[in-house]
Amino acid sequence: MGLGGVVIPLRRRTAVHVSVIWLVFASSAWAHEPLFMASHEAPGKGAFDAHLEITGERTEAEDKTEYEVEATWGLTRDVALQVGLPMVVKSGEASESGGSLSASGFGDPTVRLKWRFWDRPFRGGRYAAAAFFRTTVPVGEEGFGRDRPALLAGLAHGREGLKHYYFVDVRYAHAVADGGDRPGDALFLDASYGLRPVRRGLEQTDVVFILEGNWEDRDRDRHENGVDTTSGGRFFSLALEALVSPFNRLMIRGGVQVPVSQNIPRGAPRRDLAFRLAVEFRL
Amino acid sequence: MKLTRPKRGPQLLWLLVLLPYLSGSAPPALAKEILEGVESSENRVYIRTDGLACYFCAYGLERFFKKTGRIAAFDLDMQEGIVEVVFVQDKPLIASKTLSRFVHDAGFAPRWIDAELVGRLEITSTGDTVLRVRETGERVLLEDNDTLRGYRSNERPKERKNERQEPAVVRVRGRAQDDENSAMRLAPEWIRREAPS
Repeated sequence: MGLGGVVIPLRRRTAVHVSVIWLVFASSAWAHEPLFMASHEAPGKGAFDAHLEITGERTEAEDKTEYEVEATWGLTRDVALQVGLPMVVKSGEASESGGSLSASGFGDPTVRLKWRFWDRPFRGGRYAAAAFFRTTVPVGEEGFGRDRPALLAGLAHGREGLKHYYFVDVRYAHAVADGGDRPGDALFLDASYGLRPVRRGLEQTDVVFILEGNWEDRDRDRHENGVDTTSGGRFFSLALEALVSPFNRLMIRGGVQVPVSQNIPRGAPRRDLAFRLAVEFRL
Repeated sequence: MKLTRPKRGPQLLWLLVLLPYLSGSAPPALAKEILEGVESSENRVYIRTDGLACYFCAYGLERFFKKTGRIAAFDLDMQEGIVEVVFVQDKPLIASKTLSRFVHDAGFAPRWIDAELVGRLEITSTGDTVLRVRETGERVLLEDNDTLRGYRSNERPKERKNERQEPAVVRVRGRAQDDENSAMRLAPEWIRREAPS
């Protein structure tokens, strides 16, 4: 069931592929976490944050926008649980008629657990490292969710400071086979640098700029008939982001990811810009 | 027909970039009041804290402070890593170990706590010196260090001359330590007479 507009199911292969990309592989940001990767940050014991994220991606095959409502709980000082409910709007051109198609629906809810296992605070910042695990709960709508969960696990390390930030992470994503369809596994390596140009006071607008580099190595998708030779590849992208906190309960993040190099099979759709806007409110 | 969509991403990014500079006339940072309709106490503490890098991340502290109902305002000095806490007037002090736990649970590392309290010095039957806090009547044990001995040697002769009067009201600042019988113990760094109100 779609949500408004003319709803025409896209090809199953495409639907499975993009759902997994977006609902599991995309990171889910909080605090000063970069938008397109993961970080070590944890919100603290008893914290409750509400997030709204809008993510868009363009490829040669289709455009897609995802709206995700998320909630984050700080279970302990260093362990956080995050639950997300995504709604996806996809649009593209019909392969036969050349007309435009659109579809919308709920994807699989996501559950993410993060454990900051190493923490070295200092005056004005900290070094820290965290492990995280993320999975989908396969209850989303057909064409937007999958019948089997998709999993992501990784490690993140970083430094927060009054002026400089850096983050690095490694993530591995794996989708459980779903009736013969299985999106390819993916390995991500990310690094970013953040700068706070001006240090402001409490209750003043705080801004941090982040430059990200994202490398991805994706296996080919598998279907009932065999391997999809137009999938998989290696990608490297750069992203520029601004993180704005108008006051100490609100964080607004916006960023654009630009593909720099794409080593993809012949016939595979090339990726175009992706953007993400995230609003986080601490309750 | 190829579907086209306006690229909103870059526009949003520019808006975010310019937003803080459009509001460049923001007022200077002041201690933030977290409870409305209460009077601030003359007693306050300073918590040296590691891990503070931004105010958004530090909101967890404010949430703990608010829950107590005994903290009127706070301020953060990120450069020095100092969290300044102002109590609510006439409400009991919060124990130093409780304050340390708040900081820890919020995700930071407390290093030390200094307290600045106002009250009168008293000598107990065991010969210890305590500060009786003026607003709450709580007794805070003072460590017998050079600062305390120096103050007493200067002030006691004056007090003896006016034995019928109450001891002077003093403001004591010192390093707070956990104490089983009271909110904290203090190792005085300085002791000053408060001007008569």
